[in-house]
Amino acid sequence: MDDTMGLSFSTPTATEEGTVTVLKRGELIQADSALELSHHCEEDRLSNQPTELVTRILSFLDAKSLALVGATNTRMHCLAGQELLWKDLCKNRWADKKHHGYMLHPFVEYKEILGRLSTEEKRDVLRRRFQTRRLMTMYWIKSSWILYRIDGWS
Amino acid sequence: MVKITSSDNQEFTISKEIANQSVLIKNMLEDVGESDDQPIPLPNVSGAILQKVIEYATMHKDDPPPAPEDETKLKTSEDIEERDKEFMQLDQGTMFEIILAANYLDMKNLLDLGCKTVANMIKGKSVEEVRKLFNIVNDFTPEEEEQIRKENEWCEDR
Repeated sequence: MDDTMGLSFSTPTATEEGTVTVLKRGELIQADSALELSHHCEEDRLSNQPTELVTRILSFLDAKSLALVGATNTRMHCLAGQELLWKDLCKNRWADKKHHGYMLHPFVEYKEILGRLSTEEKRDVLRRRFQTRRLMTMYWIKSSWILYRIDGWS
Repeated sequence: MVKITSSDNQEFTISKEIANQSVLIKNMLEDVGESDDQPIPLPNVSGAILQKVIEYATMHKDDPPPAPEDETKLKTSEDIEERDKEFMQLDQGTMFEIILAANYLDMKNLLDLGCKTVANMIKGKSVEEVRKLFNIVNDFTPEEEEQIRKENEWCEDR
């Protein structure tokens, strides 16, 4: 490296502002190229690793850490967003519910997948929506009644 | 005994049971047969790293062979043995080189140990702390960063 670049330097010293001074054949230079060199020496150790290694590392993280790591830079965002990783996390998160089979939540927006649902599934969602509403109304009436009894609230 | 040479031409003589912990070397040995006593070249691993890898393999020579990967089992980084934790107390550069070497030599236990150690370093840190720890350069535009911050609102501490 020294021959091709005509450089011989001791370890560059980075100051806190990110400006770097490098010894070049005895003289001090302070330049953008020096900054590049410093990046080379103090390289990004995680996101520059091969994809399969980073993925393996990420596979040991919990959902929160995975999301945070994905916010560090573009490549990590890409790697941490891999569906496979999230699929495994979901599988483990809902492991105790796996005998339930797939169910649609009654109050999600499912306009976009409407065409893919069978009549039975649509009916099931509607039925559960109705039931949940009724339960909520009953609960609301009941709780107002209790409040009324306690505070004389009407 | 098996002879191996590192990228910087250091030669190591190790017992067969230690050599067999690397699936790469194991397969090579099976291919060339017993009679060949030529050293096995490992051009991707330096002597210093190979030394550490052999240290690990020696420590684990009596372990049962690794179980095949169980898809249904929750992957956790909390199950590191105490002696392995001590072994992994290295500078980051060496640590990543060991992970790369374990990947190349196909040593699943060591590879997982390395990956779990890195995962544990990430856990519980903020975005900025993780960046600092691994020298990750933030290359997002302010708009992208805002977008990601919104996406991640669910996992912020309140």
